[in-house]
Amino acid sequence: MSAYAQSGLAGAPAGTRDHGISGAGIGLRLCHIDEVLRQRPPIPWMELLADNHLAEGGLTALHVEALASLYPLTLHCVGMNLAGTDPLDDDYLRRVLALRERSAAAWVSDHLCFTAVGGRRYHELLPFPYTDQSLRHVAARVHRIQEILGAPLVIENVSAYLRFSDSALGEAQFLSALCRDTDCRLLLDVNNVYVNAINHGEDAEAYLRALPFERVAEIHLAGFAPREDYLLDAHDRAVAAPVWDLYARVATRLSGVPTLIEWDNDIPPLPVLLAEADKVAAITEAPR
Amino acid sequence: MSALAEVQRRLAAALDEDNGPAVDHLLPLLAAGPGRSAAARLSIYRTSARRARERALEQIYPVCREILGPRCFAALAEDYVREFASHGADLNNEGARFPAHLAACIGQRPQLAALPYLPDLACLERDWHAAYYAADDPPFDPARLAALQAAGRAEAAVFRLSAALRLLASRFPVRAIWHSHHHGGRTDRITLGQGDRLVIRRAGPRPTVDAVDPPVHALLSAIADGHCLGELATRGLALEQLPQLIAQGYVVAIDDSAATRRHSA
Ligand SMILES: [Fe+2]
Repeated sequence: MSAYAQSGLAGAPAGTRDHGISGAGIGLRLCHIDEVLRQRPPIPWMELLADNHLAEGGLTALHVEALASLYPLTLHCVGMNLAGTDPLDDDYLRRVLALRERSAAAWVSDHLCFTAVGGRRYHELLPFPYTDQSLRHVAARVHRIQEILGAPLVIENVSAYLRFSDSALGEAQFLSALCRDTDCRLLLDVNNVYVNAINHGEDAEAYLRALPFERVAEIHLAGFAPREDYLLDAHDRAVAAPVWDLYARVATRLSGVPTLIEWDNDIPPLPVLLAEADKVAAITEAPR
Repeated sequence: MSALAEVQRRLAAALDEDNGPAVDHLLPLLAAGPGRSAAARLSIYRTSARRARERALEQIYPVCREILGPRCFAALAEDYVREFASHGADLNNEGARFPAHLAACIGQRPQLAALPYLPDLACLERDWHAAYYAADDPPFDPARLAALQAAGRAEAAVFRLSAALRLLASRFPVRAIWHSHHHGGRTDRITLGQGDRLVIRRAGPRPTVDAVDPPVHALLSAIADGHCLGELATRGLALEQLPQLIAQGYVVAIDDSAATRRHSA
Protein backbone atom coordinates (compact mmCIF):
# COMPACT_ATOMS: atom_id res chain seq x y z
CA MET A 1 0.00 0.00 0.00
CA SER A 2 1.26 3.43 -0.88
CA ALA A 3 2.43 5.79 1.84
CA TYR A 4 -0.11 8.29 0.54
CA ALA A 5 -3.37 6.41 0.95
CA GLN A 6 -5.22 9.67 1.74
CA SER A 7 -4.08 11.54 -1.32
CA GLY A 8 -5.48 11.62 -4.82
CA LEU A 9 -2.56 9.52 -5.98
CA ALA A 10 -3.00 6.55 -3.68
CA GLY A 11 -2.43 3.13 -5.15
CA ALA A 12 -1.71 2.07 -8.68
CA PRO A 13 -2.05 2.77 -11.48
CA ALA A 14 -0.97 6.39 -11.23
CA GLY A 15 -3.85 7.58 -13.39
CA THR A 16 -6.67 6.41 -11.13
CA ARG A 17 -9.89 8.32 -11.60
CA ASP A 18 -11.33 8.78 -8.11
CA HIS A 19 -9.85 12.29 -7.94
CA GLY A 20 -11.91 13.37 -10.94
CA ILE A 21 -8.87 14.12 -13.12
CA SER A 22 -9.37 12.29 -16.40
CA GLY A 23 -9.52 12.99 -20.09
CA ALA A 24 -8.16 16.10 -21.79
CA GLY A 25 -7.84 19.24 -19.67
CA ILE A 26 -6.39 22.70 -20.21
CA GLY A 27 -3.93 24.83 -18.30
CA LEU A 28 -6.16 27.70 -17.17
CA ARG A 29 -4.45 31.06 -17.56
CA LEU A 30 -5.42 34.33 -15.84
CA CYS A 31 -6.89 35.88 -19.00
CA HIS A 32 -9.53 33.12 -19.28
CA ILE A 33 -10.69 32.89 -15.66
CA ASP A 34 -13.59 35.36 -15.92
CA GLU A 35 -14.88 33.70 -19.09
CA VAL A 36 -14.65 30.21 -17.59
CA LEU A 37 -16.47 31.28 -14.42
CA ARG A 38 -19.20 33.02 -16.46
CA GLN A 39 -19.75 30.41 -19.13
CA ARG A 40 -18.72 27.24 -17.29
CA PRO A 41 -17.68 25.36 -20.43
CA PRO A 42 -17.59 21.58 -20.11
CA ILE A 43 -13.88 20.99 -19.48
CA PRO A 44 -13.05 17.68 -17.73
CA TRP A 45 -10.34 19.22 -15.54
CA MET A 46 -7.97 22.15 -15.37
CA GLU A 47 -4.50 22.91 -14.13
CA LEU A 48 -3.61 26.15 -12.35
CA LEU A 49 -0.13 27.62 -12.42
CA ALA A 50 0.24 27.65 -8.65
CA ASP A 51 2.64 30.57 -8.70
CA ASN A 52 -0.09 32.83 -10.14
CA HIS A 53 -2.57 31.93 -7.40
CA LEU A 54 -0.57 32.00 -4.17
CA ALA A 55 -2.34 35.09 -2.79
CA GLU A 56 -4.17 34.20 0.41
CA GLY A 57 -6.99 36.64 -0.12
CA GLY A 58 -8.74 38.99 -2.50
CA LEU A 59 -9.97 38.13 -5.96
CA THR A 60 -7.24 35.53 -6.51
CA ALA A 61 -8.43 33.35 -3.63
CA LEU A 62 -12.11 33.89 -4.52
CA HIS A 63 -11.42 32.75 -8.09
CA VAL A 64 -9.62 29.64 -6.89
CA GLU A 65 -12.52 28.71 -4.62
CA ALA A 66 -15.06 29.33 -7.38
CA LEU A 67 -13.08 27.22 -9.85
CA ALA A 68 -12.66 24.44 -7.31
CA SER A 69 -16.43 24.28 -6.84
CA LEU A 70 -16.89 23.78 -10.60
CA TYR A 71 -13.93 21.75 -11.87
CA PRO A 72 -11.43 19.14 -10.73
CA LEU A 73 -8.10 20.95 -10.47
CA THR A 74 -4.38 20.20 -10.30
CA LEU A 75 -1.56 22.59 -9.36
CA HIS A 76 1.57 23.14 -11.40
CA CYS A 77 4.50 24.91 -9.69
CA VAL A 78 7.69 26.49 -10.99
CA GLY A 79 9.27 27.62 -7.73
CA MET A 80 10.11 24.58 -5.59
CA ASN A 81 13.70 24.59 -6.81
CA LEU A 82 13.76 20.77 -6.62
CA ALA A 83 17.37 20.36 -7.69
CA GLY A 84 18.56 23.57 -6.03
CA THR A 85 21.24 23.67 -3.37
CA ASP A 86 19.76 26.61 -1.45
CA PRO A 87 17.56 25.57 1.49
CA LEU A 88 13.96 24.73 0.55
CA ASP A 89 11.74 27.80 0.60
CA ASP A 90 9.45 26.95 3.51
CA ASP A 91 7.25 30.00 3.05
CA TYR A 92 6.67 29.14 -0.60
CA LEU A 93 5.84 25.52 0.27
CA ARG A 94 3.47 26.66 3.01
CA ARG A 95 1.66 28.87 0.51
CA VAL A 96 1.49 26.03 -2.03
CA LEU A 97 0.02 23.77 0.65
CA ALA A 98 -2.56 26.43 1.58
CA LEU A 99 -3.43 26.78 -2.11
CA ARG A 100 -3.77 23.03 -2.41
CA GLU A 101 -6.35 23.13 0.35
CA ARG A 102 -8.21 26.09 -1.19
CA SER A 103 -8.26 24.47 -4.62
CA ALA A 104 -8.85 20.86 -3.49
CA ALA A 105 -6.23 20.04 -6.12
CA ALA A 106 -5.80 16.35 -6.83
CA TRP A 107 -2.03 16.74 -6.93
CA VAL A 108 0.86 19.19 -7.13
CA SER A 109 3.60 19.09 -9.74
CA ASP A 110 6.90 20.87 -10.37
CA HIS A 111 9.87 20.44 -12.71
CA LEU A 112 13.14 18.53 -12.58
CA CYS A 113 15.35 21.60 -12.48
CA PHE A 114 16.80 24.29 -10.25
CA THR A 115 15.46 27.85 -10.21
CA ALA A 116 17.58 29.65 -7.62
CA VAL A 117 21.10 29.65 -6.24
CA GLY A 118 22.86 31.83 -3.68
CA GLY A 119 19.52 33.46 -2.83
CA ARG A 120 19.04 34.68 -6.41
CA ARG A 121 15.90 33.60 -8.24
CA TYR A 122 16.10 33.04 -11.99
CA HIS A 123 12.40 32.32 -12.78
CA GLU A 124 13.62 29.81 -15.32
CA LEU A 125 13.82 26.00 -15.36
CA LEU A 126 17.58 25.54 -15.22
CA PRO A 127 19.31 22.23 -15.97
CA PHE A 128 21.84 20.40 -13.81
CA PRO A 129 24.05 17.30 -14.22
CA TYR A 130 22.32 13.96 -13.72
CA THR A 131 24.74 12.19 -11.35
CA ASP A 132 24.49 9.88 -8.34
CA GLN A 133 25.23 12.85 -6.10
CA SER A 134 22.51 15.00 -7.62
CA LEU A 135 20.09 12.06 -7.47
CA ARG A 136 20.63 11.69 -3.71
CA HIS A 137 20.31 15.44 -3.30
CA VAL A 138 17.06 15.77 -5.27
CA ALA A 139 15.59 12.64 -3.65
CA ALA A 140 16.15 14.08 -0.17
CA ARG A 141 14.40 17.30 -1.16
CA VAL A 142 11.51 15.46 -2.80
CA HIS A 143 11.10 13.39 0.37
CA ARG A 144 10.94 16.56 2.46
CA ILE A 145 8.44 18.24 0.12
CA GLN A 146 6.25 15.14 0.10
CA GLU A 147 6.27 15.19 3.90
CA ILE A 148 5.10 18.81 3.85
CA LEU A 149 2.45 18.19 1.20
CA GLY A 150 1.40 14.85 2.67
CA ALA A 151 1.19 13.52 -0.88
CA PRO A 152 3.45 12.32 -3.65
CA LEU A 153 4.94 15.07 -5.74
CA VAL A 154 4.45 14.84 -9.50
CA ILE A 155 7.67 15.71 -11.30
CA GLU A 156 7.92 16.90 -14.89
CA ASN A 157 10.68 16.36 -17.44
CA VAL A 158 11.91 19.68 -18.88
CA SER A 159 13.14 21.16 -22.11
CA ALA A 160 16.85 21.63 -21.44
CA TYR A 161 19.07 23.60 -23.78
CA LEU A 162 22.32 22.55 -22.09
CA ARG A 163 23.73 19.16 -21.22
CA PHE A 164 26.60 18.58 -18.78
CA SER A 165 29.64 16.45 -19.52
CA ASP A 166 29.36 15.10 -15.95
CA SER A 167 25.92 13.58 -16.47
CA ALA A 168 26.24 9.83 -15.91
CA LEU A 169 22.51 9.32 -16.46
CA GLY A 170 19.99 10.55 -18.96
CA GLU A 171 16.99 12.51 -17.70
CA ALA A 172 14.71 9.48 -18.10
CA GLN A 173 17.04 7.23 -16.07
CA PHE A 174 17.33 9.97 -13.46
CA LEU A 175 13.54 10.29 -13.18
CA SER A 176 13.19 6.52 -13.01
CA ALA A 177 15.66 6.33 -10.11
CA LEU A 178 13.92 9.25 -8.42
CA CYS A 179 10.57 7.42 -8.59
CA ARG A 180 12.20 4.33 -7.11
CA ASP A 181 13.81 6.32 -4.27
CA THR A 182 10.97 8.67 -3.35
CA ASP A 183 7.66 7.15 -4.51
CA CYS A 184 7.07 10.33 -6.53
CA ARG A 185 4.96 10.36 -9.72
CA LEU A 186 5.78 11.68 -13.17
CA LEU A 187 4.37 14.33 -15.40
CA LEU A 188 5.42 13.37 -18.91
CA ASP A 189 5.68 16.42 -21.15
CA VAL A 190 5.71 14.91 -24.63
CA ASN A 191 6.64 18.22 -26.25
CA ASN A 192 9.70 18.48 -23.99
CA VAL A 193 10.78 14.97 -24.99
CA TYR A 194 10.51 15.92 -28.65
CA VAL A 195 12.23 19.32 -28.26
CA ASN A 196 15.18 17.71 -26.42
CA ALA A 197 15.45 14.92 -28.98
CA ILE A 198 15.80 17.46 -31.79
CA ASN A 199 17.99 19.94 -29.91
CA HIS A 200 20.45 17.36 -28.58
CA GLY A 201 20.19 14.71 -31.28
CA GLU A 202 18.74 12.27 -28.72
CA ASP A 203 16.39 9.35 -29.34
CA ALA A 204 12.84 10.09 -28.14
CA GLU A 205 11.81 6.42 -28.31
CA ALA A 206 14.80 5.35 -26.19
CA TYR A 207 13.90 8.11 -23.72
CA LEU A 208 10.36 6.80 -23.41
CA ARG A 209 11.58 3.20 -23.03
CA ALA A 210 13.70 4.27 -20.03
CA LEU A 211 10.75 5.91 -18.27
CA PRO A 212 8.65 3.97 -15.70
CA PHE A 213 5.27 4.43 -17.40
CA GLU A 214 3.38 3.02 -14.43
CA ARG A 215 4.44 6.16 -12.54
CA VAL A 216 3.05 8.66 -15.05
CA ALA A 217 0.12 10.54 -13.49
CA GLU A 218 -0.26 13.24 -16.12
CA ILE A 219 0.79 14.14 -19.65
CA HIS A 220 1.52 17.64 -21.01
CA LEU A 221 1.28 18.79 -24.59
CA ALA A 222 2.39 22.23 -25.80
CA GLY A 223 3.64 24.01 -28.90
CA PHE A 224 7.29 24.74 -29.60
CA ALA A 225 8.67 27.62 -31.66
CA PRO A 226 11.17 26.61 -34.37
CA ARG A 227 14.20 28.90 -34.29
CA GLU A 228 17.04 28.99 -36.79
CA ASP A 229 19.02 26.12 -35.26
CA TYR A 230 16.95 24.82 -32.37
CA LEU A 231 13.41 24.39 -31.05
CA LEU A 232 12.23 26.68 -28.26
CA ASP A 233 9.73 25.29 -25.75
CA ALA A 234 7.70 28.46 -26.17
CA HIS A 235 4.13 27.34 -25.33
CA ASP A 236 2.98 29.99 -27.78
CA ARG A 237 1.12 28.01 -30.44
CA ALA A 238 -0.71 24.77 -31.22
CA VAL A 239 0.93 21.39 -30.65
CA ALA A 240 3.15 20.43 -33.61
CA ALA A 241 2.37 17.44 -35.83
CA PRO A 242 5.42 15.34 -34.82
CA VAL A 243 4.53 15.89 -31.14
CA TRP A 244 0.99 14.63 -31.83
CA ASP A 245 2.56 11.57 -33.50
CA LEU A 246 4.76 10.93 -30.48
CA TYR A 247 1.76 11.46 -28.20
CA ALA A 248 -0.30 8.94 -30.17
CA ARG A 249 2.42 6.33 -29.57
CA VAL A 250 2.67 7.25 -25.86
CA ALA A 251 -1.12 7.20 -25.43
CA THR A 252 -1.36 3.54 -26.47
CA ARG A 253 0.82 2.69 -23.47
CA LEU A 254 -0.68 5.25 -21.10
CA SER A 255 -4.34 4.64 -21.68
CA GLY A 256 -6.42 6.57 -19.14
CA VAL A 257 -3.68 8.97 -18.06
CA PRO A 258 -5.07 12.54 -18.08
CA THR A 259 -3.58 14.88 -20.68
CA LEU A 260 -3.28 18.66 -20.54
CA ILE A 261 -2.85 21.37 -23.17
CA GLU A 262 -0.42 24.12 -22.06
CA TRP A 263 -0.45 27.51 -23.81
CA ASP A 264 1.34 30.35 -21.99
CA ASN A 265 2.32 33.00 -24.52
CA ASP A 266 0.25 34.57 -27.33
CA ILE A 267 -2.65 32.84 -25.58
CA PRO A 268 -5.57 32.27 -28.01
CA PRO A 269 -9.30 32.61 -27.30
CA LEU A 270 -10.67 29.88 -25.04
CA PRO A 271 -12.46 27.98 -27.87
CA VAL A 272 -9.11 27.51 -29.65
CA LEU A 273 -7.67 25.94 -26.50
CA LEU A 274 -10.69 23.71 -26.09
CA ALA A 275 -10.45 22.61 -29.72
CA GLU A 276 -6.83 21.65 -29.06
CA ALA A 277 -7.98 19.56 -26.10
CA ASP A 278 -10.60 17.90 -28.35
CA LYS A 279 -7.77 16.64 -30.56
CA VAL A 280 -6.51 14.68 -27.55
CA ALA A 281 -9.83 12.91 -27.25
CA ALA A 282 -9.82 12.19 -30.99
CA ILE A 283 -6.47 10.40 -30.59
CA THR A 284 -7.14 8.55 -27.35
CA GLU A 285 -10.62 7.45 -28.40
CA ALA A 286 -9.72 6.47 -31.96
CA PRO A 287 -10.13 2.74 -32.67
CA ARG A 288 -6.78 1.07 -32.88
CA MET B 1 30.74 23.54 -1.62
CA SER B 2 29.30 20.43 -3.26
CA ALA B 3 30.00 19.74 -6.92
CA LEU B 4 26.30 20.29 -7.67
CA ALA B 5 26.29 23.67 -5.92
CA GLU B 6 29.44 24.66 -7.80
CA VAL B 7 27.87 23.81 -11.19
CA GLN B 8 24.76 25.77 -10.31
CA ARG B 9 26.75 28.74 -9.08
CA ARG B 10 28.73 28.81 -12.31
CA LEU B 11 25.62 28.54 -14.48
CA ALA B 12 23.93 31.34 -12.53
CA ALA B 13 27.00 33.55 -12.79
CA ALA B 14 27.07 32.97 -16.54
CA LEU B 15 23.42 34.07 -16.74
CA ASP B 16 24.16 37.21 -14.74
CA GLU B 17 26.67 38.51 -17.25
CA ASP B 18 26.46 38.73 -21.02
CA ASN B 19 29.94 37.48 -21.75
CA GLY B 20 33.26 37.38 -20.01
CA PRO B 21 34.96 35.20 -17.43
CA ALA B 22 31.80 33.68 -15.89
CA VAL B 23 30.77 32.19 -19.23
CA ASP B 24 34.30 30.87 -19.82
CA HIS B 25 34.17 29.34 -16.35
CA LEU B 26 31.02 27.40 -17.19
CA LEU B 27 31.81 26.17 -20.70
CA PRO B 28 34.21 23.35 -19.64
CA LEU B 29 31.35 21.76 -17.66
CA LEU B 30 29.02 21.58 -20.64
CA ALA B 31 28.68 18.73 -23.10
CA ALA B 32 29.10 19.55 -26.75
CA GLY B 33 25.93 19.12 -28.75
CA PRO B 34 24.67 19.52 -32.30
CA GLY B 35 23.50 22.88 -33.60
CA ARG B 36 24.33 26.06 -31.84
CA SER B 37 27.26 26.54 -29.53
CA ALA B 38 26.96 26.11 -25.76
CA ALA B 39 27.41 29.87 -25.30
CA ALA B 40 24.54 30.52 -27.72
CA ARG B 41 22.34 27.96 -25.94
CA LEU B 42 23.15 29.65 -22.64
CA SER B 43 21.72 32.86 -24.03
CA ILE B 44 18.32 31.16 -24.46
CA TYR B 45 18.12 30.93 -20.68
CA ARG B 46 19.52 34.40 -20.14
CA THR B 47 16.94 36.00 -22.41
CA SER B 48 14.06 33.99 -21.01
CA ALA B 49 14.97 34.60 -17.36
CA ARG B 50 15.20 38.36 -17.93
CA ARG B 51 12.01 38.48 -19.96
CA ALA B 52 10.06 36.78 -17.17
CA ARG B 53 11.03 39.56 -14.78
CA GLU B 54 10.53 42.33 -17.34
CA ARG B 55 7.01 41.02 -18.07
CA ALA B 56 6.28 41.08 -14.33
CA LEU B 57 7.37 44.74 -14.20
CA GLU B 58 5.13 45.55 -17.18
CA GLN B 59 2.18 44.05 -15.34
CA ILE B 60 2.89 45.82 -12.06
CA TYR B 61 3.65 49.26 -13.59
CA PRO B 62 1.24 49.71 -16.54
CA VAL B 63 0.68 53.45 -16.00
CA CYS B 64 4.39 54.23 -15.74
CA ARG B 65 4.84 52.23 -18.93
CA GLU B 66 2.11 54.18 -20.68
CA ILE B 67 3.68 57.49 -19.65
CA LEU B 68 7.22 56.48 -20.58
CA GLY B 69 6.26 54.62 -23.73
CA PRO B 70 6.98 50.90 -24.19
CA ARG B 71 10.53 51.36 -25.48
CA CYS B 72 11.72 53.70 -22.75
CA PHE B 73 10.05 51.52 -20.10
CA ALA B 74 11.64 48.39 -21.56
CA ALA B 75 15.09 49.99 -21.37
CA LEU B 76 14.56 51.01 -17.72
CA ALA B 77 13.17 47.57 -16.85
CA GLU B 78 16.11 45.87 -18.54
CA ASP B 79 18.56 47.99 -16.52
CA TYR B 80 16.66 47.19 -13.34
CA VAL B 81 16.66 43.43 -13.96
CA ARG B 82 20.39 43.55 -14.73
CA GLU B 83 21.22 45.60 -11.67
CA PHE B 84 19.00 43.99 -9.02
CA ALA B 85 18.73 40.25 -8.50
CA SER B 86 15.36 38.67 -7.80
CA HIS B 87 15.06 37.16 -4.33
CA GLY B 88 11.54 35.75 -4.15
CA ALA B 89 9.79 32.88 -5.88
CA ASP B 90 6.65 34.99 -6.37
CA LEU B 91 6.91 37.26 -9.41
CA ASN B 92 4.06 39.32 -7.98
CA ASN B 93 6.61 40.70 -5.52
CA GLU B 94 9.05 41.52 -8.28
CA GLY B 95 10.35 45.04 -8.61
CA ALA B 96 9.86 46.37 -5.08
CA ARG B 97 12.82 48.68 -5.66
CA PHE B 98 11.73 49.77 -9.14
CA PRO B 99 10.42 53.16 -7.87
CA ALA B 100 13.85 53.87 -6.32
CA HIS B 101 15.47 52.76 -9.58
CA LEU B 102 13.29 55.25 -11.48
CA ALA B 103 14.25 58.00 -9.02
CA ALA B 104 17.94 57.28 -9.59
CA CYS B 105 17.46 57.24 -13.38
CA ILE B 106 15.64 60.58 -13.33
CA GLY B 107 18.68 62.12 -11.67
CA GLN B 108 20.93 60.69 -14.38
CA ARG B 109 18.92 60.99 -17.59
CA PRO B 110 17.93 64.46 -18.80
CA GLN B 111 15.10 63.05 -20.97
CA LEU B 112 13.32 61.93 -17.77
CA ALA B 113 13.69 65.29 -16.00
CA ALA B 114 10.15 66.32 -17.03
CA LEU B 115 8.69 63.41 -15.02
CA PRO B 116 9.67 64.15 -11.41
CA TYR B 117 6.43 62.51 -10.16
CA LEU B 118 7.22 59.16 -11.78
CA PRO B 119 8.84 57.43 -8.75
CA ASP B 120 5.85 58.27 -6.54
CA LEU B 121 3.46 57.11 -9.25
CA ALA B 122 5.45 53.86 -9.40
CA CYS B 123 5.05 53.53 -5.61
CA LEU B 124 1.31 53.87 -6.06
CA GLU B 125 1.26 51.13 -8.70
CA ARG B 126 3.50 48.86 -6.63
CA ASP B 127 1.33 49.37 -3.54
CA TRP B 128 -1.88 48.80 -5.50
CA HIS B 129 -0.45 45.52 -6.80
CA ALA B 130 0.68 44.48 -3.31
CA ALA B 131 -2.77 45.27 -1.88
CA TYR B 132 -4.41 43.24 -4.66
CA TYR B 133 -2.37 40.14 -3.75
CA ALA B 134 -2.35 40.63 0.04
CA ALA B 135 -3.87 38.08 2.39
CA ASP B 136 -7.37 38.61 3.80
CA ASP B 137 -7.47 40.02 7.33
CA PRO B 138 -8.90 38.13 10.30
CA PRO B 139 -12.00 39.86 11.76
CA PHE B 140 -11.35 42.57 14.34
CA ASP B 141 -11.70 41.32 17.92
CA PRO B 142 -12.92 44.15 20.21
CA ALA B 143 -12.46 41.96 23.30
CA ARG B 144 -8.71 42.33 22.91
CA LEU B 145 -8.72 46.07 23.73
CA ALA B 146 -11.24 45.53 26.54
CA ALA B 147 -8.93 42.92 28.05
CA LEU B 148 -5.96 45.30 27.92
CA GLN B 149 -8.08 48.06 29.47
CA ALA B 150 -9.25 45.73 32.26
CA ALA B 151 -5.62 44.86 32.96
CA GLY B 152 -4.76 48.57 33.11
CA ARG B 153 -2.54 48.15 30.04
CA ALA B 154 -4.50 50.04 27.38
CA GLU B 155 -1.49 52.33 26.82
CA ALA B 156 0.50 49.33 25.66
CA ALA B 157 -1.96 48.47 22.90
CA VAL B 158 -0.35 48.23 19.48
CA PHE B 159 -2.71 48.45 16.53
CA ARG B 160 -2.15 46.46 13.41
CA LEU B 161 -3.12 47.77 9.97
CA SER B 162 -4.80 45.64 7.33
CA ALA B 163 -2.39 43.42 5.38
CA ALA B 164 -4.04 44.85 2.26
CA LEU B 165 -3.34 48.49 3.17
CA ARG B 166 -0.46 50.70 2.04
CA LEU B 167 0.22 54.35 2.84
CA LEU B 168 1.68 56.81 0.39
CA ALA B 169 2.59 60.47 0.71
CA SER B 170 3.66 62.46 -2.32
CA ARG B 171 4.13 66.13 -3.11
CA PHE B 172 2.66 65.36 -6.54
CA PRO B 173 -0.99 64.66 -7.44
CA VAL B 174 -0.20 61.03 -8.25
CA ARG B 175 -3.72 59.82 -7.51
CA ALA B 176 -5.19 62.12 -10.16
CA ILE B 177 -2.50 61.11 -12.65
CA TRP B 178 -3.11 57.42 -11.96
CA HIS B 179 -6.90 57.83 -12.25
CA SER B 180 -6.70 59.80 -15.46
CA HIS B 181 -4.61 57.06 -17.08
CA HIS B 182 -7.02 54.41 -15.95
CA HIS B 183 -9.83 56.30 -17.61
CA GLY B 184 -8.00 57.16 -20.81
CA GLY B 185 -7.56 60.79 -19.82
CA ARG B 186 -4.70 63.25 -20.14
CA THR B 187 -2.26 64.30 -17.49
CA ASP B 188 -1.30 67.70 -18.88
CA ARG B 189 -4.30 69.40 -17.23
CA ILE B 190 -3.77 68.12 -13.71
CA THR B 191 -2.92 70.86 -11.25
CA LEU B 192 -0.13 70.36 -8.78
CA GLY B 193 -2.27 71.02 -5.68
CA GLN B 194 -1.05 70.39 -2.16
CA GLY B 195 0.30 66.91 -2.73
CA ASP B 196 -1.30 63.57 -1.89
CA ARG B 197 -1.88 61.66 1.34
CA LEU B 198 -3.17 58.29 0.18
CA VAL B 199 -4.49 55.04 1.56
CA ILE B 200 -4.28 52.21 -0.95
CA ARG B 201 -6.38 49.41 0.30
CA ARG B 202 -8.38 46.39 -0.71
CA ALA B 203 -11.72 45.81 0.98
CA GLY B 204 -13.72 44.41 -1.93
CA PRO B 205 -12.25 42.44 -4.81
CA ARG B 206 -9.94 45.24 -6.05
CA PRO B 207 -7.94 47.86 -4.16
CA THR B 208 -9.08 51.47 -4.05
CA VAL B 209 -6.90 54.56 -3.79
CA ASP B 210 -8.36 57.04 -1.32
CA ALA B 211 -7.15 60.50 -0.38
CA VAL B 212 -7.20 61.07 3.39
CA ASP B 213 -6.63 64.14 5.57
CA PRO B 214 -3.06 64.71 6.74
CA PRO B 215 -3.90 63.99 10.44
CA VAL B 216 -5.40 60.60 9.51
CA HIS B 217 -2.39 59.82 7.35
CA ALA B 218 -0.04 60.77 10.18
CA LEU B 219 -1.91 58.55 12.63
CA LEU B 220 -1.92 55.58 10.24
CA SER B 221 1.80 56.06 9.54
CA ALA B 222 2.61 56.04 13.27
CA ILE B 223 0.53 52.88 13.69
CA ALA B 224 2.36 51.31 10.74
CA ASP B 225 5.63 52.15 12.48
CA GLY B 226 4.49 50.08 15.48
CA HIS B 227 3.95 52.83 18.06
CA CYS B 228 1.73 51.82 20.99
CA LEU B 229 -1.35 53.74 22.08
CA GLY B 230 0.58 55.61 24.78
CA GLU B 231 3.14 56.81 22.24
CA LEU B 232 0.43 57.81 19.76
CA ALA B 233 -1.12 59.96 22.51
CA THR B 234 2.24 61.52 23.46
CA ARG B 235 2.76 62.49 19.83
CA GLY B 236 -0.57 64.34 19.81
CA LEU B 237 -1.95 62.29 16.94
CA ALA B 238 -5.63 62.31 15.98
CA LEU B 239 -6.68 59.44 18.22
CA GLU B 240 -10.36 60.44 17.98
CA GLN B 241 -10.18 58.93 14.46
CA LEU B 242 -9.37 55.45 15.75
CA PRO B 243 -12.92 54.07 16.05
CA GLN B 244 -13.63 55.18 12.50
CA LEU B 245 -10.39 53.56 11.23
CA ILE B 246 -11.38 50.31 12.92
CA ALA B 247 -14.89 50.50 11.47
CA GLN B 248 -13.41 51.07 7.99
CA GLY B 249 -11.21 48.01 8.35
CA TYR B 250 -7.98 50.03 8.18
CA VAL B 251 -7.04 48.84 11.67
CA VAL B 252 -7.66 45.11 11.99
CA ALA B 253 -6.08 43.90 15.22
CA ILE B 254 -4.63 44.90 18.57
CA ASP B 255 -1.54 43.42 20.12
CA ASP B 256 0.06 44.07 23.51
CA SER B 257 3.27 46.07 22.94
CA ALA B 258 4.97 44.44 25.96
CA ALA B 259 4.09 41.01 24.61
CA THR B 260 5.13 42.04 21.10
CA ARG B 261 8.52 43.27 22.35
CA ARG B 262 9.11 40.16 24.41
CA HIS B 263 8.31 38.14 21.34
CA SER B 264 10.72 39.95 19.08
CA ALA B 265 13.50 40.24 21.66
FE1 LIG C 1 4.86 21.05 -19.27
